[in-house]
Amino acid sequence: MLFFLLFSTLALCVQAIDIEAGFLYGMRTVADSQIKKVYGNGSCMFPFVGVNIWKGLGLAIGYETGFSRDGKIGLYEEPTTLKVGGFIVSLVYQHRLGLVAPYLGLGYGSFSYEQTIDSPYAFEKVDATQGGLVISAGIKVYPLKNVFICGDFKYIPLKVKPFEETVDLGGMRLSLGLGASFGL
Amino acid sequence: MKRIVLVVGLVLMISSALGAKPWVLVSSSDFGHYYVLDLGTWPVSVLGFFNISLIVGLLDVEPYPNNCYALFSTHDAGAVVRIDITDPNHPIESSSLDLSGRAFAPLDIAIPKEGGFAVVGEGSNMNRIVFIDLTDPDFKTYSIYHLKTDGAAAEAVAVTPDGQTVIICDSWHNRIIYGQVNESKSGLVSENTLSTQFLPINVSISPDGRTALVVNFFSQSFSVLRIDGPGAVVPGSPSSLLVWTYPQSIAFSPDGSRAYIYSTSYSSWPDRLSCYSVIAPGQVNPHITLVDLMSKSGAAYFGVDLLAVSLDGMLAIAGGWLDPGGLSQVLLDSYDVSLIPLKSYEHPRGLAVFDEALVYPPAEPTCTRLVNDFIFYKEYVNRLTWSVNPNNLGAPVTVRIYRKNLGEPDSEFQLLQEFDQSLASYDDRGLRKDQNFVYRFTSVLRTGKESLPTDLETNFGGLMFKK
Repeated sequence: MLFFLLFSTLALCVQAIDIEAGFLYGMRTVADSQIKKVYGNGSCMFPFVGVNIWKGLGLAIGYETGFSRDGKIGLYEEPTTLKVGGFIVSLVYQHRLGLVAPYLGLGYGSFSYEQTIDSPYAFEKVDATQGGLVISAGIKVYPLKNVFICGDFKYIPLKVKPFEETVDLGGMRLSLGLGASFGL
Repeated sequence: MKRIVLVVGLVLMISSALGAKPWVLVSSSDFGHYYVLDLGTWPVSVLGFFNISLIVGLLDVEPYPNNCYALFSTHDAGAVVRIDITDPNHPIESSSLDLSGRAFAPLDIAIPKEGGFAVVGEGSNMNRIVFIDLTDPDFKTYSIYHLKTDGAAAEAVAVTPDGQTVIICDSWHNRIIYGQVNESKSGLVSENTLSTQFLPINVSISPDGRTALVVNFFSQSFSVLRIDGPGAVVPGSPSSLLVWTYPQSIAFSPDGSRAYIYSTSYSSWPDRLSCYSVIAPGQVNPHITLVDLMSKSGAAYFGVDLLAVSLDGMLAIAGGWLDPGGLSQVLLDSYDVSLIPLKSYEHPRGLAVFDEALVYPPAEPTCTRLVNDFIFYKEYVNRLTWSVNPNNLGAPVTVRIYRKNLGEPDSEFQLLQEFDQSLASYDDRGLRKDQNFVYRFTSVLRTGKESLPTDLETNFGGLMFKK
């Protein structure tokens, strides 16, 4: 819905719109050592669409998903699952150099996270949302006119404090993907 | 009607005078039978008749100091059988120590009040006694001690209440062997001998551990000994006294001021109870009170105690299974004698009085605060530990842990968990950081009897201490 609203607004404002759509898949690291120890690094998927606003400056929106990790937690090594995912909206500057186009992005992510622990003594429910900065960079290669292969790097610091403990759910994402651009 | 009320009142008065709870275990010569007498009734009645799994005659019987178990010796089967007597109405065979593989034929059993071990004499004349570790819940730990004294036999044994001194009747050499128990309760650090008269077959030590009497069967006498310290035994005063007929067993009154000797005969003379005053350690007043008994044993049972005195010292029970069949009960203030009739198959041998089972709370309770890190929040855990109380001597108890909030003296303790005592740790989970409690530990017997509690207060962030 957010995507639809954003896209409709831009379509009304801009006469000729260059649009991209793509899909990234890659590795997602975890900054917090305890999270890493219990759940480990994982993978993530990031479908996205973007729109060129003006001379390489564009707006991209996507949804990061796929980070769902199981582990054993605590003194009693009880089964646990951590899921993290969320929307990212970024302002991206892309500079086209022939077949390649490096880009930089700065945005905002709204992430939901949920921890479940299979224990009668897990007395708190961890299921919340937290927003944070998203820094991204990457390069697109256009083997065909409207098709690109993308290598993407994101760094997302995401400090959360649902209770008394502050936990960094952030980390890096190293992804590869495929996309297409077309004009409306 | 008035007569009935009067009789009932009299019975209650006598029962009260005799003490309400003690019982007597009686081993039988027949097929692993034993039975329990109820001393809380008058006349004394047979509470129940029970079997062990071995089909063999039982000899001596000895209760543990905490009255949770009793041991029976089975000479012919080479075993010492442990019976759970926490519920006198329903004793249960708990386990047995099979010594037949060592050609050991158990006779007399002695258990000191302190020390957590039993000493067992044997009937195979192989110069040995066995030390059994009573703290082993599985009843499997023992050591055979070979006497250093040449040609020794060890039929009857006695141990001082402090568990320091053992006296052994070397019956066929007319002497006693005595010595100090070693630190590991597995043997003697020293051995010495004292001559007795002809065929010493039983020995008993007074409750204060200072006087020992040895009955010399064929001499129709008993020897008096004074115990001066661990492993130190000297002749008493007088060194011996004659008794009528063949003395078999000795029992002291609970306060140690009187000694009773049960003697039998091979003739038509009745079995007798001889009563003496113990006037000082190792000193016996030669004045004798003789009581003819109504039962008769007519045999020399080496080391088997055929005489027991109630815990209040008011009543003696004496054995004997020849005609007319039964046990004699003697009121020791009036010396009135009556018969406890037994059925034809109830052939009594060893006798032992036991009281209500004692149970002690778990020992050395501790609490350690643990933090269970769930990353986003922390669960606090109180890890409670305890150890088996050695005074329970392996008794089958469960451990109960109760809890209440610290600083709420008027609140009730809530039961947290109940465990088998072998589980010596429990994690009280799901706690918040600032929660502190008073934990209460108790031990519970199978009868439901609960020990006095041991309390433990937690004050994390401050001190933790045991009450």
